[in-house]
Amino acid sequence: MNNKIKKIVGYSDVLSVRPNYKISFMISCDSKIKYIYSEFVKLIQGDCNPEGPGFKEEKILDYKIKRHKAINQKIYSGSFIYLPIRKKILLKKEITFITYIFPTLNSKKKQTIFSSDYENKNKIKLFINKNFCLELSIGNKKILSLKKKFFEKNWYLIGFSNSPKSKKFKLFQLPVNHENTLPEIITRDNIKNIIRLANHLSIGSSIKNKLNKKLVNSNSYNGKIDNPKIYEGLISENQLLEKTMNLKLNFKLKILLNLDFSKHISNDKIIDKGKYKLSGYTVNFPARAMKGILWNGGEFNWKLKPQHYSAIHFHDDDIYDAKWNKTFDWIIPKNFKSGIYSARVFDKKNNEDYIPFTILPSKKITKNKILFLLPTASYMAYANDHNSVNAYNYEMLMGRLTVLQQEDIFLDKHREYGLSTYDTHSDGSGVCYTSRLRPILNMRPKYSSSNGGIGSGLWQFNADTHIVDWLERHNFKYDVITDEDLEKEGLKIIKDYKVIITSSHPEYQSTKCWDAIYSFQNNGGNLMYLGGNGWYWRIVWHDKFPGIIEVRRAEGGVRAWEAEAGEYYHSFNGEYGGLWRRLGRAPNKLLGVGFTGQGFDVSSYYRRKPQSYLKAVDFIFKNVDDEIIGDFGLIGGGAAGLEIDRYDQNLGSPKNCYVLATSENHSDLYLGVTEEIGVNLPNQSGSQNPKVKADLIYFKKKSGSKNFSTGSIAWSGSLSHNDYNNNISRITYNVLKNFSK
Amino acid sequence: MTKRFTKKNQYVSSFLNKPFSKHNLETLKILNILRSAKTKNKYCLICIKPFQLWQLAKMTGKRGNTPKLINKFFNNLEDAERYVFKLRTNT
Repeated sequence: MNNKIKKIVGYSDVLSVRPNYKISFMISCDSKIKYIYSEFVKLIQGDCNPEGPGFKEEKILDYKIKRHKAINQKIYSGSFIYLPIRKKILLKKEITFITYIFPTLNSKKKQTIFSSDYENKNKIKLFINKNFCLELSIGNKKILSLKKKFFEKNWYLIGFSNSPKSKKFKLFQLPVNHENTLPEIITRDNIKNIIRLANHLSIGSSIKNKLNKKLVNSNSYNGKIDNPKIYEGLISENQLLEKTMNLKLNFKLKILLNLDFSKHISNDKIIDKGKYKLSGYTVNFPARAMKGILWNGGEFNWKLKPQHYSAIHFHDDDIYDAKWNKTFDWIIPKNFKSGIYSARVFDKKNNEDYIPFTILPSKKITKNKILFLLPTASYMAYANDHNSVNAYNYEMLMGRLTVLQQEDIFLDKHREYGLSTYDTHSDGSGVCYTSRLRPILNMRPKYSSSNGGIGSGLWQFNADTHIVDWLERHNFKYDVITDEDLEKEGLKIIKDYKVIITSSHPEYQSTKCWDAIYSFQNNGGNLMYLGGNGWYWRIVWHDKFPGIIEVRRAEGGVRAWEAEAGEYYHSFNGEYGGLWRRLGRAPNKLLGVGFTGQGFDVSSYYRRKPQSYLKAVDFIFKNVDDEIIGDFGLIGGGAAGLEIDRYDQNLGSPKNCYVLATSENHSDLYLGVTEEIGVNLPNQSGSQNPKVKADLIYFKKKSGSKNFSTGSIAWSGSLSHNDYNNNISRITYNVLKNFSK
Repeated sequence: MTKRFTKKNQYVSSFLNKPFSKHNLETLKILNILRSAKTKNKYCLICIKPFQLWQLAKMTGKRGNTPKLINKFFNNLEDAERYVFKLRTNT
């Protein structure tokens, strides 16, 4: 089997669906492919490693293979504001357009700030040209351009004015709160032009056309824009200079357009408070709750002082919904068994893509006792990550040469497929939103990730198929739901289960999901946390836009990027962002253990502790005589590895807890977590740092809730060793049998 | 920088014997220096056949620019590690 260049890619409208409901699939193919075929499979094991049990799927016979005409569909990334214009506007009188901008990338490409009508008949366009200077054009003909380049990541007051009467255009940029460039104001005489605004105004991109109700944008801008306004009348040079110093200065002129981005921060609405009331919306989720021109460090919570958060940060690689045309759909048959399934789309030349999803249990049939909770927020956080091609010092972190899969190469080329929250935008700013409404090429069976440790190299979705495979092998009856379902339905969707099994790395959790699991425990529900670094970051699901989450990497923690000072509160709901540990809810409180260290080369093993021999826990070690457990596995060669957690009462681990085993002998590529580094002492690495260990624990709550935590991502990679006959598999089996009684 | 590694000392040979293992701190010092080079022209591997065949390549250091392929193939990742180590240290 060759690792082929991706020629077929797709996504589904939802990641979970109930029987009797429809799921739709949107597919794009290389233009040379004429037809593709669709089928459905039940996914059991996505790991192709020949050292393991191998790839396993079962074809779904209820769905007969269908043929579809192949079409090539594109993604248009880049965020912008769209303000429809119903009736053409003629600006016959003198006008001045002003706004503050904070350009963040000299991309050597055109970057539209403000534009009207479609690109080929632009009525007016104010943009940053290829020289990184401000330029004004009308009807795609240059009117004026400045000579002084912007200095990246500094504020400017920019704009233009037009006087049809005196036949003059003026273009200007003036630095605000810095001295990195000089102001520049130029005038062009003898050019009579009445500006017409037609069809729409766009801010942050130009609009090329509209295809099937989808706006096709171009010339996307990178940077912030704050409070665009059009005044009726002219503003003198002195007044402009004054406006760079007195930022709240209002000119006594009639306001034709006035866009205040400090309003409706949590949704896509853009309200025009000017004469024309050109209200519209944002597209592709530009970053909101961003520090504006007025921000002075006096307030860090945008809800308390929204006027200081009046900027929107646009990026040329923002994407929310690819909005592809539907290729096919499937109505899930009545009472279909809950589990992880996938559409498989393929052609006759062995090109294929898998699009996984979950079938939820039918509401009308009795639920199973076991629930597997699929962490789609964590999959989305890592969706299409560019770690292997972009992350600085990735090879050193992973402890081996970076191996690129065809998916990685595809995503490196196709930046329009969007980023993960581990990436930075093309201007270097952190990615705080991620959506599932686009092909996610690393959320696939058969995919090996450079994150995933020596051996199988699995991470997130595909690593979790190790758990599914083990459940199937032991004939456990189980249901599957996603955390998006838990977010929507809360405790009621989980309360009837005896036991919830988590995935290998449920790192990203919303407040509602945190609360639901806590309530589940307090109602007597049992929890098997078969992972590491779980419940680490707070995230927020948008309550109106499906399939998008936000994470603000505030304060501390192992972070791919840091949220800017003053931007720690989520825009979706105003909650403070960061680690659950820094929000007063360390994972130890919920799971008994919490993130303590990470390394990505070789995994290690656990050694049993004296408490594991006590009678209260002997059910866990039935038929396990070994003192060393998990010194084998497909993920780094051991059950304790990648990201690991420790028991710590100081962080909220319960006192009445049995520490059953502790990992040891981790390599020096394993390091303690950064949130615990106050003074940066030199003993951070595995052989010297006593905190670099995974604790295997069990505790019972007053409610009767029984909890078992492995504290290691690599645990599930050891389940299938020796044909599933090994101490990790046996311990897991003993616990699940007991917990699901 | 590479002169430091021209002698095959015990730390170098410990890596070459078993590239994927728990290395001592002295060996890691050498590896960290080699592995922390800038992304431009940094060696990487392209997976040609999963778990069977990999091709050597050099990263470009620019977003969106595909790595440059080198006509050198490996059937296991340990051999690739050894080969690149030797290239980087001129040994």
